[in-house]
Amino acid sequence: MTTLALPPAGRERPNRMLHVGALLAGTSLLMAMGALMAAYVNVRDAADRWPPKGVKVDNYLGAILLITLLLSSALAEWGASAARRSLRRQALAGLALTALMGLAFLNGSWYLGSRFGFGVDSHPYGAMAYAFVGLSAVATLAGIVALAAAMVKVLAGQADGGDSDPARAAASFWHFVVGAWAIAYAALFMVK
Amino acid sequence: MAQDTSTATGSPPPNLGGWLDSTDHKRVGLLYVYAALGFLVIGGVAGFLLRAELAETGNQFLGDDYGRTFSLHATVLGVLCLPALWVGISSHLVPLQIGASRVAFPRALASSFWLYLTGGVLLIGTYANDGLRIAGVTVSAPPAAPKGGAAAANTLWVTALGMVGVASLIAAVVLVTTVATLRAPGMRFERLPLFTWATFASGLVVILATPVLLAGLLVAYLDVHFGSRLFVSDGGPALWQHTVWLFGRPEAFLLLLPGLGVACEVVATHARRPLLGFAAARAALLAFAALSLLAWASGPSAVRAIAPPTSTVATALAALPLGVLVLAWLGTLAKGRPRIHSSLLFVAGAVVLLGFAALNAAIAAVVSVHGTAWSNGFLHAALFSPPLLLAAAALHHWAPKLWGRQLPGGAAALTALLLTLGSLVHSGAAFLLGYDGQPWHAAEGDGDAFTNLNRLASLGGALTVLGVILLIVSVARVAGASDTDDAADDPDTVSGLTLEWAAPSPPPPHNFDEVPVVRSAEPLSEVPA
Repeated sequence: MTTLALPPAGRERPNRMLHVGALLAGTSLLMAMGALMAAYVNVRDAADRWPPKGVKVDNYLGAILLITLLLSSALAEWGASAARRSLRRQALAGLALTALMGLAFLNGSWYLGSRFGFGVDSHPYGAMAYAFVGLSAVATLAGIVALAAAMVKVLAGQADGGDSDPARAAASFWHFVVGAWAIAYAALFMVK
Repeated sequence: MAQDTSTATGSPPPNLGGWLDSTDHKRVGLLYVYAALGFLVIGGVAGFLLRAELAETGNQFLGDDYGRTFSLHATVLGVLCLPALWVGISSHLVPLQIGASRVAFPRALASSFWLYLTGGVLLIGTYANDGLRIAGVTVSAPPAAPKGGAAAANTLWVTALGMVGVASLIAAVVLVTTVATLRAPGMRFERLPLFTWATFASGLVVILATPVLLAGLLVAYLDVHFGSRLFVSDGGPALWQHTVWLFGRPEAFLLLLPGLGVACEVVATHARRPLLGFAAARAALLAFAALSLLAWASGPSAVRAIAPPTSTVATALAALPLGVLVLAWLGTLAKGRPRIHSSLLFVAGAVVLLGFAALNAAIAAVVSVHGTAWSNGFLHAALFSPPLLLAAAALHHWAPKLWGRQLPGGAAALTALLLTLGSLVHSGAAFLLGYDGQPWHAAEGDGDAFTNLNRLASLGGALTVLGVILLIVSVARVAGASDTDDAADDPDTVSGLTLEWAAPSPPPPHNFDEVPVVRSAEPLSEVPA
């Protein structure tokens, strides 16, 4: 057994590992939502009438959900920024409020789904609407889990100062969650 | 002198529990390799049955199951075997090549393996259902939504494929993050070993392309499980094709891309000099990855066939980076002091097959072969056999790091010969059948006109299967050995210039005792002899 002797470099430093992972996962999420958007436009163009007869798009609720998430994005940024400056209480407050607004979004999404007035099998619009809302909800749930994990790290003192990667990662992923709903909103409520 | 593995690596003696709950990237990588080889057997047996049916006019033992067997063969090899083989080899070697002690998210990597294995087993299980009506990655029609048990089979098929897709996405995120954040000091991106570079580029493409398939599968799930009719509505079938194809086209390229990185490493190591045109090779690998995404845009006419004639500009462009790489390999061998190693034979076989595929692609640009057995030949000559040969090259090249022993050289040479010759005969006969007009999905050799060529293709298939069996036996023997071999680190056999060769064979759980500093793309060239 031989080991060649290279000069040692001291301790290995994981550098923004969670953050990079969150950016890559977020990119995947946006690609999936983009694919749904492309599918939506494709099916819409092929349909005789869009949205189908009897479908009433609740623009108000969709916009409220978007505003909720946009605000939560600012809160997430506050939390990550506070963690970087070792302001632990502010970091916890920012991340917790973000998660709370995420739960409010999930609740609102459920309500939106219950008010659709059509099923997933009613028409292509129904399939797309449920796909958009469902994928957004799953992404939001993942974002809330990431925020909760970051809060645990902050509480344990493992996510402040120069080592605030968990809070930064959770906040960055949350921005992608918001972007995902923005795509869904654009498809379902703006393009229609 | 042989050593006990546990004392050589400092790791606990291997046991079943140690494999099941391990988060060590090397063990997870090996699990991926073993599972992929298992799926290779299943896919190979299915392919052998298909060829046996076509060998003689009148053979009908598959009967109505021909289409399902074909789909099983293509899905297992294209989705479950080759990509997982690359994930396994990359998971094991990339941290070693960049001087890291681990991967970025070890638990995520281990989870991805178990998700992939579960999804893969379920996926194969669905083929046992007579009513399965799926398109998968090989046929253009979207999944149907029949009644009864078949609906459950289709739902399970979509779910299982989704599990495999999510697993590959997780593995890609882990590997790309590892390369981006855990490189040894001084290991800049331009100094990355080319296999790691190819893995990084592949991972980025997977992260961009796989979610498109997953979104398509989500809607397909709504179709087959809840009865929505998106993919059978106006424009739906074309939409399914694009959804599958935006993933499928890059996927076809990605089966080869890590192998091109392997070839760069193998050639440089055994030519005993740095790769000639290192920067050009790096750019070529990146260009190949970028072109894989462009290949989706090769035109609507190409959407319906998995391997259409490559006369479209978007797909033909891929030949340019390949040409650059082959020139770099030849130049390196010409300027170096090559020593014969079994891994070089596999690389040579892959180059021969790729050249053969390119020649026939050029012919197909002027001869109409659409919808014929030509596609079968191209699939095997370009998309299946070269990646398999290059994966075998990787297993032989890095066997000391994977298992602490060299794979047997004599068996390796025979394996390389069987795989290359078998693929040449098989795909050559398929190309000729295509020029003669035999339809691609013909479940029956159409009379005497095609019989001899079909026999020849079946003979080639049988040789390939023999090569696969020999490869698996070699790996099983070395993997099952309870000791390591000091000759594995013999500088006369292997003396690469990249960091993995600085670690013991096999490497200990922490890979390196000291994290090294890197000052060039060939860090071990700075080590005094």
